[in-house]
Amino acid sequence: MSIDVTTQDLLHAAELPPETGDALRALFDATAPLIASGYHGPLDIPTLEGLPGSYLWFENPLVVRVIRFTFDSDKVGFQGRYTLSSGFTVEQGTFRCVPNNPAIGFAFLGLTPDGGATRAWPISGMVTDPLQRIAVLQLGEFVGSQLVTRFAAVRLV
Amino acid sequence: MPTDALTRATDELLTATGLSTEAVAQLRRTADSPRLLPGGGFHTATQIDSLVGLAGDYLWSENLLAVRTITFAFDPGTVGSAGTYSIKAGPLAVEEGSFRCFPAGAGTSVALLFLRPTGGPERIFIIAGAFIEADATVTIMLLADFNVAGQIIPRFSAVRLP
Repeated sequence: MSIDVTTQDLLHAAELPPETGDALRALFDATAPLIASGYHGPLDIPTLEGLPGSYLWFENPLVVRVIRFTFDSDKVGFQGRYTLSSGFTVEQGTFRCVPNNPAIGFAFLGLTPDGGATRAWPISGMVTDPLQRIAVLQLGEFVGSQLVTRFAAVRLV
Repeated sequence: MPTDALTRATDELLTATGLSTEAVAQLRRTADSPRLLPGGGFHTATQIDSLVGLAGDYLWSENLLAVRTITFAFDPGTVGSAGTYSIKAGPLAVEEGSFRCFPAGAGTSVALLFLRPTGGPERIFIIAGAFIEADATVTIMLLADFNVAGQIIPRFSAVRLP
């Protein structure tokens, strides 16, 4: 009751033309799949569209590198190119990622270097910021039936 | 992501990883298992109730073009709230000074970090979030520029060195 009445009152008071209201409704619907900022556990990763950008990459804890992810324009959210660098490019290739999914449940990230073998990790958690970007991506491994974080990627840019 | 695209992307990733059918089935069972208890440890700016585990060495990406290391050391009488810091580029100290840190709740709704370099102006950061271990050790901090209004958007990070 009261919510509908209040909304109508608010829209009336705002004197928004009907087409503006419709546009706002469409904008809201379009952004509905976006996720809340904060921490997301391994079973709370509905999208990885906030992945693009550069991250500190701690796969080798003794040699911290920078990785840059760029989605292919027709594969946003699940495939693109990456470059791993340490002052100079040390590896580049194709990455694939999937959010939580019916097939295996877990979200995954896989790196396939050009001419090399794929390395893949389950995503054990992530932090997203209010701009929907991934700020921290935790990559894990299974120890028994436990998913434990092995290393993190922490956003630079 | 539409269901068919998700299915296709998952199939492609599984093909790339070369996981066996048995391994895929095991993953599916594990994802459904209530025994899955990952260590979360993430605290938002309003949830950081202690910074006693801040001391130590971190990668410091305040300057994105020159990632450096920072060392925080608490003064003996002010563990968890104040001490000295040193920012280094390799072995060379490029900035030294004193710091103060405030967990959320003690007069401020968000956790804050103040750096006061020797002879320079103070810089204030909101600790937008932090991974904190069970023993209170801070492992990752997300730092945002301080402003009195608006959203807290992390600008850079401090990541504990092994």
